[in-house]
Amino acid sequence: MRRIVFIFLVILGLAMIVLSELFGTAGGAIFFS
Amino acid sequence: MTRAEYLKKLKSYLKNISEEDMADLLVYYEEIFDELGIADTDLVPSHITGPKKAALEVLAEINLRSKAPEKLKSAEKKNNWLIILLVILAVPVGIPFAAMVILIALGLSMLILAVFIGLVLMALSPLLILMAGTFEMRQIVFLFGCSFLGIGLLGLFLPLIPQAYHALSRWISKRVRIERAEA
Repeated sequence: MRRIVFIFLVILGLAMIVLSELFGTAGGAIFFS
Repeated sequence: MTRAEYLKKLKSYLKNISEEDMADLLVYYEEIFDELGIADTDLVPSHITGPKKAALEVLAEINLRSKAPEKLKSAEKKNNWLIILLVILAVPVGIPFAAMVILIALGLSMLILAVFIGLVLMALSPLLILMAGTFEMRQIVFLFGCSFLGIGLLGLFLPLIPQAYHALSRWISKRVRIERAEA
């Protein structure tokens, strides 16, 4: 059960990172925008 | 020859053996004579080995017994020298090998530590929003994405540490048991 929650968090995190990249500049450039 | 004479002769042939051996021997012969029902003044039957031959047998046995441990000791000494020689010959290979094993272990533990520090920082990354001072949607989504990913990976891999520790300790104790059984 706990493992499923953590796997969900990993997938959600990856999805959010990909989504933020789709919005505009790379997330890594956060301080230079 | 009477029992007393027999024992006297035997003693005279075995003057040089230790008092302990002599006492053991006399007890042994007296027991034999008592069992056969031969008193001090009775004649010793002819089928019993004569005192001279008996003395020679005793001397041979004592000689053998005293030399056996010496032989063992010298064999042990030779073995020790062989082991020292092997150790000296193994030094040019052994020291770099030991250094390699230690460095690999150190490198692996550093790698694991670095990965966990990285994951913890990742989980804490939304705090960067406070430092950046801006609240653009994509930044917030990116940083919370990092946080979820870090928490997820930590949650998946942290329980593996005690498991790996238990597996390692089980393996070591198993090896120790096998070595002891072989020894």
